[in-house]
Amino acid sequence: MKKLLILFCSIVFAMNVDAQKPNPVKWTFSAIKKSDKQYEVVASATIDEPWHMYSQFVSGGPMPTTFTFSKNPLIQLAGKTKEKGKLQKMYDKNFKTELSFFSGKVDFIQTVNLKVASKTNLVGVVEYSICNDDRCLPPAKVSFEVALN
Amino acid sequence: MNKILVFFAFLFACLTTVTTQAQSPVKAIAKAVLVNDSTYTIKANIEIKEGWHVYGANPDGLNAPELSSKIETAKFQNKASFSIKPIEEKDILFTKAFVFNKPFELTQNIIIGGFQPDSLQLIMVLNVAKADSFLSLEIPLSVALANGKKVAGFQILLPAGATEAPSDACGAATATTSSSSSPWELLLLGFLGGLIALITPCVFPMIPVTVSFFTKRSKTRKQGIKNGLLYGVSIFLIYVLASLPFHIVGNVQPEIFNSISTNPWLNIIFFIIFIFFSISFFGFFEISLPSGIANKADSKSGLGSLAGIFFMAITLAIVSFSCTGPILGTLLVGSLQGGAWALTYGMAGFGLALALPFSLFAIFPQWLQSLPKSGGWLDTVKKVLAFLELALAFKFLSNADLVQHWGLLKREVFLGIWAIISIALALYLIGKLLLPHDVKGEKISSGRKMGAVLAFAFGIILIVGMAPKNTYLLKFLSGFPPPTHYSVFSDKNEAHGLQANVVNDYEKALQLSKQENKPILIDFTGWACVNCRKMEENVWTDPAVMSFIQNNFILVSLYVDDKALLPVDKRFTYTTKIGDKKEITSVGDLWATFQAENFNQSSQPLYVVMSSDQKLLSNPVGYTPNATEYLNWLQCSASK
Repeated sequence: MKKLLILFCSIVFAMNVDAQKPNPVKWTFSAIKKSDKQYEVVASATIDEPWHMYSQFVSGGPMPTTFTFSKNPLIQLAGKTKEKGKLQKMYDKNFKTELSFFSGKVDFIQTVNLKVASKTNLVGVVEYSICNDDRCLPPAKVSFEVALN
Repeated sequence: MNKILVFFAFLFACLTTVTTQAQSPVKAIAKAVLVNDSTYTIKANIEIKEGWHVYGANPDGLNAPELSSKIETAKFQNKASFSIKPIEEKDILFTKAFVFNKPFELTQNIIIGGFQPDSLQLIMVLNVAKADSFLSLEIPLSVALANGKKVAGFQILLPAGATEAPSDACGAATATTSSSSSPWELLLLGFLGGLIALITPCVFPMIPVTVSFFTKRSKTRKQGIKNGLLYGVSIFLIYVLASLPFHIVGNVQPEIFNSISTNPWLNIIFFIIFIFFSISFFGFFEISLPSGIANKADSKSGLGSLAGIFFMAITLAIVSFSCTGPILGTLLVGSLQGGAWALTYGMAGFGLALALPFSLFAIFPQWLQSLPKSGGWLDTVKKVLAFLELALAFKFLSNADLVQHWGLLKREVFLGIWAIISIALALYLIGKLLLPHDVKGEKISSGRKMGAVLAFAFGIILIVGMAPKNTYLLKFLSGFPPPTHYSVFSDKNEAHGLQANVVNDYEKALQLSKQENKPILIDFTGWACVNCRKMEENVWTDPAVMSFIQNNFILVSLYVDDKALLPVDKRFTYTTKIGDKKEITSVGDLWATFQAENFNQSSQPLYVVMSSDQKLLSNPVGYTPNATEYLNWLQCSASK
């Protein structure tokens, strides 16, 4: 129930942010409890047609999606942020690099371990940029705060 | 009903959670006390909610509250000191920890180098906990600086009315469709090409021969007219049908024609073909299609009247190819950018010009008497064409060179080659330069002398126009020679593509625009923008586009994703038209906001033309991969 509530709130919160400007990307942030001391923090982006969002692992061209988590001494990040979605790849001859991007929906999943079982929060910022076949939008930043409990 | 209730319950729960978050376990208020000129003491009072405690310095890397400044020119002088000492208390994280559980004050000195804003933004990071929770908080603080000055931020919003495009503005407000040269222009171009082909030695002598063949073969005049018309229609059809394969290719790959003019290898191939044709026209060797093909077509022409006449027309098209080839090639390159249909119109014009005389003379054979006799002048026409082909060949090499940045044909080198070709042409026309089949001491007609004077004058203009200050002399050549910056005089960096006059400085562009009395072309772009690079690499490299922009606009590139920080005295908070607060901290923030607020579009690339008194001259356009379409928009915008 609590989880559902958090999810619901994140969505409402995300919608509030979006209502101000037509934005082709909608973010929702949630946490899934794996064990007393382990959570999966999920940042889900829903991307409108025909836009696409770049993966975290592009370099030398478009701006990769980047997550920056504020320091919380209780939390240890376990590994890199994983990406779950339909990854498309395309070689770009202008940037001379392979571009990898998502369209539709993508989940960014960060596993975190707590030093002590306790309620806490993970605060961070995701910076991303999106393009379609014609144009790009300037990079955007979205702050989030996910409760772990 | 129940569901609605649950929904409201959820919504309410949401609002409360949000407010609880806002009601942070810690409240902080700060002020800055002036010590001297640029040194202040920050005093932050921290209140703690019942049941919570704030961590002081603890082993295991848990720090006491820490301040940081949002501006990098501010430096903290010493470590923070606290009004009370942390006490040891039972804790969730450690069994026991040093914590503050009463209100306390943090004191720390800060020195601000350079500009002092009227308010300084700080962030306090602290860790708090209660029985079952641990939180790491970042609390924003704002302090007024006694010696601070208000930031005179960039005037983001342009004057009222500045961003309304005139009602007759070019560039559709929505997506534009292709609007390259009109079919009539292309038809005319092809027709002119056909007329030139007509007076070449491979076609001209064929006129009387073919016409007399018809008149002799036809028993009645009526039949002669019918045959002549059929022959003309056949020639016309053959050239129109020759464009058919391009329609098939175009359907499969519609993008192909857009990139054709900037494809370096295709341009190199055209360079070689044109050199080859020109050597042949000079008379060093004859190009002829394998005689087998011509013979086969010729033998078919003996068939029944309709098929026979069609095959006679094919024979003509084949045997005349050595003269029509270069002209058709020019037509192909000139029109293909507009797509396969453009080529069809061009070919139709060409076929028409070639077909008309055959039909007309077949109908009115008596006109043949007034036709000039074939003779030496035909050879002169052919050789003049050879010079033109040679000059055109270098245009293709130059196209490839511009795209690949080889630096082979800088502007002066290109103009020099053209000058040599035109002076050589002048020398040939007055009989000083002898080519194969030319006889020394031949009588020079007055027409040739006039041609020589023109060619010589053209060569001289080219040489004079080479000097950087005389470029205006060559304006009539528009996109033909490489653009002015692609010069032996400019340094290496400048030779790479079209250079913006100004980068990331709109005010400077505005000033330049007033000085030079040219409108501003704003290029809203991004370092990470894929299609911005495509426009730079494929459209701006088009010589006509490049020189048009250079001659007619102040080009300013504004990068919306530039991470470079603005100087401290240029950072400010902007309130948008819809009331959002936006912190303008980086160069990218500034231009992204400037674009969105004034032009109601936030995507890149976006091209905007404004007059020097800041009036929108046309509707802004986005990604326009077709160079002709882009050039049309530029020309139309500049003409307002």
